[in-house]
Amino acid sequence: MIEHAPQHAEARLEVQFEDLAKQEHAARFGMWVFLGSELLLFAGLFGLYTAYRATHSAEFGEAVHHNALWIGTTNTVILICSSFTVAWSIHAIRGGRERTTTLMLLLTMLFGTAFLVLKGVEYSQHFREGILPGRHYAFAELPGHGAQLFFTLYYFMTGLHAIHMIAGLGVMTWLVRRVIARRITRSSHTALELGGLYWHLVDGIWIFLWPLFYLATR
Amino acid sequence: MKDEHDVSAERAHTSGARYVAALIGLLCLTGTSLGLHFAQLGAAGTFVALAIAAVKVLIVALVFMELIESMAATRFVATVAVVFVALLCLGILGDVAFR
Repeated sequence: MIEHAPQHAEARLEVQFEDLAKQEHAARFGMWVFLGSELLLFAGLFGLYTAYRATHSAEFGEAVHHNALWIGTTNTVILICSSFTVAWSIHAIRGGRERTTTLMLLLTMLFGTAFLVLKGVEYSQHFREGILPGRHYAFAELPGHGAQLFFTLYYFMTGLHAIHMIAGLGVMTWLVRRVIARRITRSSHTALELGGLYWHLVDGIWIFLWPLFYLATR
Repeated sequence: MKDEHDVSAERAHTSGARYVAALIGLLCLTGTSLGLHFAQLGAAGTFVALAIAAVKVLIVALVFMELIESMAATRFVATVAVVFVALLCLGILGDVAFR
């Protein structure tokens, strides 16, 4: 027998909570703890960047010139706009505007996809020039060890970020399906808020990657 | 001071106008970073760019992630995570600088 979702899903109170407000707070708090652990995952790489930047300052500065500034900047604008559309989707669902919520989430997915496409274009340019991570590095213009370290970190940090973007797109797809199925509604939208928090974290990490890999020439 | 158990405080939601203002602010700061990059500030340019990035992340956290309206426990978790990352980077920088 097929079970149909209710026309307007109501938030379900789990047995361990006294009321919905406390349940929602626990969910949000748990998500923030998860985001904190995600941040510490990137912290090791930011720490490595700090150390190698301090010891190979000149080579890092030269290497920055070989990243495509226009792609990095466009991707920054894209991610900022996507954070806005996610925030607006939550704002819309709180007002009961489910179509606007769906539209904003689809726009977010479009922004996310555009980001990944541009990142792919930049990676392919690097591959053609021999800018590869680790011992595969073969860029003739910058043969030094510092440049090799810079681009290895570049691939690790932007690659890890891209994996998070792909995961975020998966979350957005799931959220869109739930909004369309009316499983996420004005009275039950904690999942949308938590998905939005994850997307904003991914945006926040890129906000720091942009100056480190595209602007810091000295 | 907000009561830790006053869950209703977290239900105070950010207005749409604040979201739009945050978007405009973030785009302006991105433009400022790019402009300063071409202004060739030398070694200070990197620190200025990172300082602007920190302000942008603060806007995202406070407005889009609604940290400004969150309970103290949530704000504490977010603050501790950021402080730990900053400590790690500063510790490494200190180690390299004074080795």
